[in-house]
Amino acid sequence: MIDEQNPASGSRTKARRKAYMRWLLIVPAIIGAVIGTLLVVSNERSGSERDIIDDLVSGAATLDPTTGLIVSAIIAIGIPITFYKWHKSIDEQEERAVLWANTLALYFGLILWLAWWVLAATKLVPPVNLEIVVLASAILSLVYWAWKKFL
Amino acid sequence: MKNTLKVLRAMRNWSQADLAEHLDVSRQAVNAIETGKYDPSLPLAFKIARLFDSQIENIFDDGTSHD
Repeated sequence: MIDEQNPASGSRTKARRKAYMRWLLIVPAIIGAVIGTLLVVSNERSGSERDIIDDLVSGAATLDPTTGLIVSAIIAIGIPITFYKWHKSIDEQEERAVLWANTLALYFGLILWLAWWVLAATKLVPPVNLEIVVLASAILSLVYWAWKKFL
Repeated sequence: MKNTLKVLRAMRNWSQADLAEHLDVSRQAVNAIETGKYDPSLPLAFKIARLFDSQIENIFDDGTSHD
């Protein structure tokens, strides 16, 4: 919390927030690089000539258990820590934007999934594609967050 | 909620970034409060009032008149 009697404390907290933001840009990049390297190495070891990213997107990829455990551990530990640090670094206006954006995305995803699932049961549409539901929810969340934060 | 934050800031010749630094929030937060798009929390409203040596009700107007 800032000390109004001490203007320098504002600069310190701003510097701290900037340091957090820098950290939050660097760490996910490092995590992504480590995961990408592990996946490529794992793919090459398996002797596959197919592109690992294409296989992951299509669901055709098979990872060796060691690589899978390491990558999932990095994701399961790295992402929560990154989000925790990020939530600690943002102010209350952005926190409000994030909360509403995520609430909206949750409602949207649940309703889309349910409506799609019912329609799929009638054979009017293909079976539910969860990747599309999650991606659409994430995009909606991002757009709403940016709108509330910057406009 | 209407407020006089922009006027108070102008009286001190501060930019939104200056005020944001004093309040330990982002410039976007100051802009959102000034334009009435975001109502600050009670702790932040107190901080704003203390910073301008005023009272919350003198800065923020919730639209209800006092008799």
